[in-house]
Amino acid sequence: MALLEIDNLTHYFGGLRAVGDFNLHLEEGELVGLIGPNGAGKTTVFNLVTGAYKASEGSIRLNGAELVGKPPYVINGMGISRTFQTIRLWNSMTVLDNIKVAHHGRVKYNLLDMFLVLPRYRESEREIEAHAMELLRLFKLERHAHEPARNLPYGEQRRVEIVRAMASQPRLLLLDEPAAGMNPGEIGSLMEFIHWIRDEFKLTIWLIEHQMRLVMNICERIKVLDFGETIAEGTPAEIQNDRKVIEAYLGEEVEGV
Amino acid sequence: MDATFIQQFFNALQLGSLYALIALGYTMVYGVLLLINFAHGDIFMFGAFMGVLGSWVFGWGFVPTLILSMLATALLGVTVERVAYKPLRAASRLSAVITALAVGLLLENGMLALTGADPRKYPDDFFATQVYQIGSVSISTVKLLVIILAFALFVALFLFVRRTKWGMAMRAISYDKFAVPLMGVSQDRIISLTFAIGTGLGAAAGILWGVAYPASLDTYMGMLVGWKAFIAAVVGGIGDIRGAVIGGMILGFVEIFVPYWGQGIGVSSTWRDPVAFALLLIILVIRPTGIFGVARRQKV
Amino acid sequence: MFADLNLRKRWAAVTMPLREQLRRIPTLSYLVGLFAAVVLEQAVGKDFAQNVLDFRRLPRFFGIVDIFEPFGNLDFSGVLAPFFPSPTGLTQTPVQDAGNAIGQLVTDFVNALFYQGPRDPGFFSVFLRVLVYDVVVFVIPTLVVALLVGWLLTHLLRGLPGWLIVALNVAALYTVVALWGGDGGTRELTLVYMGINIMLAVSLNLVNGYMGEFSVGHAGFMAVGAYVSSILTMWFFTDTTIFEGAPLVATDSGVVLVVGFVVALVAGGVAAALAGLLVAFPSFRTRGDYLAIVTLAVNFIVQGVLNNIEVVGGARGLNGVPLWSDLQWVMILTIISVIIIYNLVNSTYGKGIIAIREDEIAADLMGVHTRQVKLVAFLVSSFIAGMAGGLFAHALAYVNPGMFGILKSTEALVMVYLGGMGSISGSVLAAVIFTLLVEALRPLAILKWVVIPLILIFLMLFRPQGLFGFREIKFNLRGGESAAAAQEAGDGTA
Repeated sequence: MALLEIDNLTHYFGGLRAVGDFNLHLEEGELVGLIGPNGAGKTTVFNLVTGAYKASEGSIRLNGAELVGKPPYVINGMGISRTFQTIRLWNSMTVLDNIKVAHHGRVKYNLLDMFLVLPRYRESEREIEAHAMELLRLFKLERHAHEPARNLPYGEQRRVEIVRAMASQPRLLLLDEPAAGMNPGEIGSLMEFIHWIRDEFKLTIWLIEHQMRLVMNICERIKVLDFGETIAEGTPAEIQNDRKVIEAYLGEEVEGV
Repeated sequence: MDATFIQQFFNALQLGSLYALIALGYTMVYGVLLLINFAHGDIFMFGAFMGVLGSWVFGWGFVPTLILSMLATALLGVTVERVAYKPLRAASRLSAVITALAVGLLLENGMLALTGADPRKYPDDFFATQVYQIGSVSISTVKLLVIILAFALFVALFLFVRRTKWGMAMRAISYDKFAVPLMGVSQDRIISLTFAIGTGLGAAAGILWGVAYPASLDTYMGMLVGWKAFIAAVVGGIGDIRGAVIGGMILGFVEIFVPYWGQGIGVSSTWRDPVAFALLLIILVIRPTGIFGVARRQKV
Repeated sequence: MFADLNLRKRWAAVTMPLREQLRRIPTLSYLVGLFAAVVLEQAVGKDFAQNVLDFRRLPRFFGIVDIFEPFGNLDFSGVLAPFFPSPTGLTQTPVQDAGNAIGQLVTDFVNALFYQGPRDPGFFSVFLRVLVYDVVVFVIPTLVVALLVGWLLTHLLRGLPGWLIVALNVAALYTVVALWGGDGGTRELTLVYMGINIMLAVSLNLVNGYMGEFSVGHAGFMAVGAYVSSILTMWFFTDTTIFEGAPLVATDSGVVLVVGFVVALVAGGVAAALAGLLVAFPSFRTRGDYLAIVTLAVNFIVQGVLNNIEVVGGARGLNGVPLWSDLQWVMILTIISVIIIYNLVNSTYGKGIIAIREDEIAADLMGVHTRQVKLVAFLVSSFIAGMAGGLFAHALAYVNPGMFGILKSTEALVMVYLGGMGSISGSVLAAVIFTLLVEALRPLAILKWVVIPLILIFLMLFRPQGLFGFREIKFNLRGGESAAAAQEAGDGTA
């Protein structure tokens, strides 16, 4: 059984078919890319998988458990986490607090424990803080732990978002345009970084990206969307030579191909 | 349909028109600034008080007094916007709302402190009332005046907003602040104009209210009425002119017909307010952005 | 101009070592100092006030209540009345009348400033004498004693666990306030209002500041708590014609009464929390302005329903609520409320509330059960408001629906935004300031409600984030140059 199985996923906004008949099976440990011109429905697929939108039709299963209809926090707890196209940190909170709040699923106390600062509360808080700090250390962000997230430079904020996504110990990580706004040098280190995360945390990674250099270099498999429909699927080499893909990208800027 | 029903119908139409006139002030300001102008109820009070000035001190008749009140109140509205709200345009929206609340308190209490608490009313000959008998239904000229004048103002406003360059700029500004200067109109002027029209209509409502309900003229008259009209504007879909009219009418009809139908089943007329608010609450829960409001999808 | 600046610099330089010292000593030493000052006031305060400073009685609430009293005679109503006349107040010469009124006003004002008669001193005289009284009786003794014990306390506190130090501070504050304010009179009543206001401000800040919603109907929850607890205590413990007549529980046993009051207050809080559901459920779908309307409507509905229930007195309200909210009750519940909110917003769970304010969708997708968190925030907030309402009713001995209108809700809003959103200590401080302001301005009658909105308008124009927006007042609990104190000093000069 694959880790994630998406079958016949279809979604409408009003009358508009934003995603049509989307199928994808992700195996444990894979690194898969999702590409397509702007407005192709890529982020919508991520929103459907993470529960931000409820799919109109089709099924999404994680380890065989149906996800459609479940609220986002449950899906997050089941092992899918993500980052966003534009950075969505909780700006006024410190970096550490950003990571801690993403541990919500691991809170093991009730309101009374909290109001009275009972041992169970202290124990759980200690655990969460230790785990959050450990993550920050792993990602070399611990010196920023007590700074408000908004004070960090753009690139660091992107990294904090990835750390935050790791807080719930996901098995599947969705990255929505991780290279957006980065220069070629930064993209190079990002590629290493993504590989490192996958190996360090034994993750499956699925990413949306416009930067072809990144997608073609690190993804093992690529799926191409246009107007919500899948137009191609295959290895980077196959995709690069696919006539339909080239057509879809005509007029679009094709970076690095 | 019996005569009292028809009579109540006209009462509701009158009350609804007045609420709608006030609700327009809220909705127009919200439309351009996304600001809940909590001071508007007290602007309405100020309009009614300008009627006292015109009628008693100047000895003017209804029409000149109405015009005086609308102009003076519009001036007040524009001044309030320039002095208190404009400096906060860049700050968080909440600061402006809190300021609006404070301006409202300042107006009603300041007016009370400066003019005293004696009960006021317009002169008896301010608007000579006649009562027409149509069958067993009697309709006073005051009611006709309120309803007809209110509708004339709605139509005028609707045409203004739809047909003129200024009106279109007003509608555009809530979508895109930066596009308006491109249309060759200054943003500040549009905002001032909006306040002037909104508060002017509020003043008209104030005078009509004083004529229709003579016992209500005091410095706190705008408090509850203002809050109610505001909720009416929201129920209609704040920012939309038709919404303000419909919301005001709904409120007017509920307030008249709850006691009218309620007396048959032993519900006292004082249930009017809670029932009206509960109904508005239910409408809002079913349609969170009001009847004419457009839900804006939040982007993920 | 320059001389003035130099003087200030030199003053700052001379006082530098002293201020440095005052920053180093732990907070507890100030509370010990205050305790000494309170003892001093009880010993010699009255003599000093009457014989040396020529007051007729002890200055009320540090004299704050006395200083604006000379303005109590000002009557502004003649200024515009000639232009907005009542039918009986018509005048042929409005301009002249208004001019006369203004002239009279100016004369009265000048008199109020300087001298209005042998038994009515002017503002300056009262103000100066109040200043002398406060400095001699409170400021100097507090600082001197604080400096004396500061060194000792710094050493004593070393090595104690943090929670114990906090507990010591709270206990000391409690003792000082109880000793100073437990007079059963105006001091106590003012402090009772202050505690209730703190509860209101802090609980509203949870929703408006931390969660970023805009609730404008907080008084509605207060009303529910006030009525439910009053009905219970009256029904069970008082002889009233409204309910059964004779009390259900006729007892003088202190324990039973205490338990009874606790149960009644908690029941009031629970009822208010249930009313809070009326706002919490719509909040799942609605945010911002529309939710604000929901809170407003709930406030009106609560008020309107209470107006119409004859059993609880309708618009007249309930009379004969037992006078049980004394200073101790209010202080204990205020402290508990502040601790509850503090622990909530500082927990990982409660920080989910802040995450909702910052970016609700991100919170949802990052594993925060946003609906549950919102529910908790609204329930805790309305529960505390309900308890505050219960205390309020039992402090006044009566309740009526009119007390819990938009004006009361506005007061709570004023405190929250004065103190700053997302700041508990800011809200506490703002509630203290607001209560004192209301007391100080009481002699001005209606002008009070002109001055307060003006303050609010200027606050929004010049300091829209409030006194302490999104940060807390830092206390030097352990003494010594702690990092927090150093940082606070840095903030002060910035």
